[in-house]
Amino acid sequence: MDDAPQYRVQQLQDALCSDERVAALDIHVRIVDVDVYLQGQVATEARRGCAEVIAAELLPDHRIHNDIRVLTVLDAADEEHLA
Amino acid sequence: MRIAAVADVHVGIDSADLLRPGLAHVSADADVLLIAGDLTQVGAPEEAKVLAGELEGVEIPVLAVLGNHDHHSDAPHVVREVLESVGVVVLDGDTVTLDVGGQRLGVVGDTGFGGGFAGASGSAFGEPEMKHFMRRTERSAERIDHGLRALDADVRVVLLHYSPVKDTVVGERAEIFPFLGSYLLAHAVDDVGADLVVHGHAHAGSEQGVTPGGVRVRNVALPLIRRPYRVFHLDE
Repeated sequence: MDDAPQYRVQQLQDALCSDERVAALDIHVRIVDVDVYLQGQVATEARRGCAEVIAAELLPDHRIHNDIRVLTVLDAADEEHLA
Repeated sequence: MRIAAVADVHVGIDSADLLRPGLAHVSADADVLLIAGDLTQVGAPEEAKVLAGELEGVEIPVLAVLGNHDHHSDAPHVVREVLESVGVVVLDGDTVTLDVGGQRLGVVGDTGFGGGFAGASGSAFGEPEMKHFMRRTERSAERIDHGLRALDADVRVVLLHYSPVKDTVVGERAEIFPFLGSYLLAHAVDDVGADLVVHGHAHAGSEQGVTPGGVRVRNVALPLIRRPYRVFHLDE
């Protein structure tokens, strides 16, 4: 893929959305030279790993930096009183 | 009246046992659980079955609407069937009324849709695709309006996936606001009146908002609230 970085960003974001291994619309992608930074959060460790695989498949000549976090949910619910 | 709500649980085949622990106390904490769309990751029946398993121990009524992710496999009816088979009430422009401790809770549920917010909204003008897009939102607004008018309830709640107000999508990139909700949904709520609107979809949005007519709006997207659910205490 030899498009301008802006196009590569969108192509990768589209792939992270359309590939059902991840299917996330809100992973942010930044490309600086050959470095690709993935940022955001997903629900499972498996999806985090797949995002990196998808990026490596699409951009094989790049270095992938997987900064995606797995969503952590606190144990307890909280409440709000609406008068 | 205690209403538990969460959205955007995005259950996949890799999600088994992720939600269940957090829902262990919901039946004691609340009278009803609302799930505001994006129940699944890609709308696959297998994912809906995982979610159905996660909800097995919940003893209070569970009401849900579908989100955009639940439509991705073009089988939203199957997702609905799977969830209904375990007692989840999936609302699609429908209403339901529950007796909660002698009070009637009425819920109107609809996915809603996008278009944008007042002053920066799309219009049903021009190409057929644009008209189709906006008319989808207009239909949702009509269903909310009709549903609210039909409800005979002490407390009325609107359950959506898309946001009716800009307040609760602030935090997302402004460029994508038109894909996160529409003011037409709020307009319908304000025309009839309601006690609360809950929605999801905007993972990086804000939790609290209010319609121009003064109805509270709460974004309960799981990535935003970072808790298994939020409980709203509402009284007549």
